[in-house]
Amino acid sequence: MSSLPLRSTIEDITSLLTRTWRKRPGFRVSLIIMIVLFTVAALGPYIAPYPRQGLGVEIDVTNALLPPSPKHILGTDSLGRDVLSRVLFALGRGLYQSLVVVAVSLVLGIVVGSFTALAPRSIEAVVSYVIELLLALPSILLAALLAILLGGTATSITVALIVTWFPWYARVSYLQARGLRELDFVRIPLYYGLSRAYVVVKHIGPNILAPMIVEALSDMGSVVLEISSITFLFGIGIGSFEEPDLGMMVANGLRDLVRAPWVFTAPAAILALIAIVFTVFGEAVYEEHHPILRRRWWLWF
Amino acid sequence: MITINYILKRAILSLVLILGVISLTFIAMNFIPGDPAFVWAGKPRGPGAAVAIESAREYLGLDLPLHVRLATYLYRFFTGDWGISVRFKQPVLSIVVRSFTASLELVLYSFAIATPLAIWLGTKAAVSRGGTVDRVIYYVSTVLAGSPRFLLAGLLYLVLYMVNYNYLGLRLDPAYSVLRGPTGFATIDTLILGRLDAFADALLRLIPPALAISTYPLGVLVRVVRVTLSEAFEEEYVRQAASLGLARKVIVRKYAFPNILPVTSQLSGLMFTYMLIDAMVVENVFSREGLGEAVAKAVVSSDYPLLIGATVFVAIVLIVVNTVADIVQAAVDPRVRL
Repeated sequence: MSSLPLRSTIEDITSLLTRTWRKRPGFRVSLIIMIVLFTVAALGPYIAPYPRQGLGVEIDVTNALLPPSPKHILGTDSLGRDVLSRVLFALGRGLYQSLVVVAVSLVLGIVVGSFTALAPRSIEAVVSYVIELLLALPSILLAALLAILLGGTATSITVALIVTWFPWYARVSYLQARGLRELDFVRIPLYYGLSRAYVVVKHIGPNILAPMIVEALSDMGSVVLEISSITFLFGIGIGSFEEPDLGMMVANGLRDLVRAPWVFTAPAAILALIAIVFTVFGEAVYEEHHPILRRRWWLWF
Repeated sequence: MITINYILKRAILSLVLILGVISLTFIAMNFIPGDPAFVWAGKPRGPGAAVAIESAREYLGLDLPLHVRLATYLYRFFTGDWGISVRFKQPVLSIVVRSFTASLELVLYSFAIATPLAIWLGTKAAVSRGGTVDRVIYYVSTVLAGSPRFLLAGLLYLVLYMVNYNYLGLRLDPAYSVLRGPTGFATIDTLILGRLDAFADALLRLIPPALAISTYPLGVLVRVVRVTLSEAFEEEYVRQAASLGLARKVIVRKYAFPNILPVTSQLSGLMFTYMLIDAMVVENVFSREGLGEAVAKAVVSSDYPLLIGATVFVAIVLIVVNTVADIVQAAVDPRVRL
């Protein structure tokens, strides 16, 4: 029953993507790099030259801070681990983490936002207040608090980011759903006595899904940046670490920035590549989706 | 027109939000898995642990009923007793204020660097929209806003190190450490005390990290100015002005520029949040004292009181900044109302 609106949303998104692909070279380049990145991330553990060092279970202090050479293409870090292997292992985890954050926040945000728009006034006011409250929380500090409470850093960062990102999507989808709620296709079913939940799922959800996905696609770059900033700060504090993580590797490389710049530069450059590619990709889709931005201007005076 | 009513509404709303944030931290503290006293004492181990946990239990008043604890919590909060940092053995409030001021100084300077540059570049791009200049400015600003700040800061650090730049790291040369002023801003304190040499030192140490942070607002503002001006150029009153034969410069300055202000003030709240995060990161690259350094240390030593204090403080600052930004926006753009 619900497959029809879902299919139309998928059609909307794919047609938007193909349209953007046709018109924008920046989008083409970024999509190709993204596919390459995801492939490398998926294959990473299998093509890494030193998988045990990549995972961090094996260290080799005698080979610490070696410059790039055929044996270690990106050099070695302060514990003698092959930087390339560690980057390959960290890449998959980082991409996975940002995808999880965006996907979960998006779903949560849409559900909260669209149901709030049709909820009774009192609930609407309370939920809007909570959303504002969560938006005010600084994500880094929340992640740090959760890291102390929950222990594991990767989970606490993911949870903290979801807590600070989903209210944003909730607000946007709430505003969009509120714009729809006075329209006939929402009001008439309600007059007929159909339940609010049914109307939300059947009539409001399908209409805000596509714009919200576009919104999420354009936010991917920021999410990657925010995750890396948080893990970077954690890495500054934590001395040694086993889990391969790009942000923490950057923080660790900072200590030998002058003596061994490759330990810092390699993961930082990869992060920059991911963030920029995601940003260009998202922006192209976003501009293509919003017709006002799509128009090309020529100064006429 | 901006009304007192609107300002009052916003002020009350932000006050309610601040109370909510405080209550949220109270909930987080009292309903965590495990023993709150153990966490508040910084998860101590070893011989002194039992004593530390016991004093934490006493401080939190864990044997009292919940509403008394909430009242005590709020009372302490407003009287400035935010607990003692586990790591620094000092009152949390003073540490948070001190490190926040250091980060704020960075943010403000990077804003001051970015804004004029962004308006200039954005106007250049908008005027030659669709041309090569526009495209170059657009892509450079995308790359600048999109790359992680620690990469830019690290590269800048490396370059400055190579050319033997002597003002890397710290906020002020240790020789000037006796100079303590009332504001906490190194650059302002040294000026108040009339020490120009120390001021130059502080400024030279401040500019590289500020430059690294300013790439974010620069990238964002350039694009905002570009789009806003391009939209304004399509407006009827700009056409009218052009038809009267006014010079292009006059049209851009007098008729299109006022459109930038509302958008910028609306964005400044959001940008402030991200710039603060960036400042926390960049500080660590340049090993400056600040919020980022304090948080990084607090995470390692499970300094729960300090992190709670920092979270509440930053949340309050963000709420206030956003409220002020909204009010400014309403003041300059009469279409906005609550």
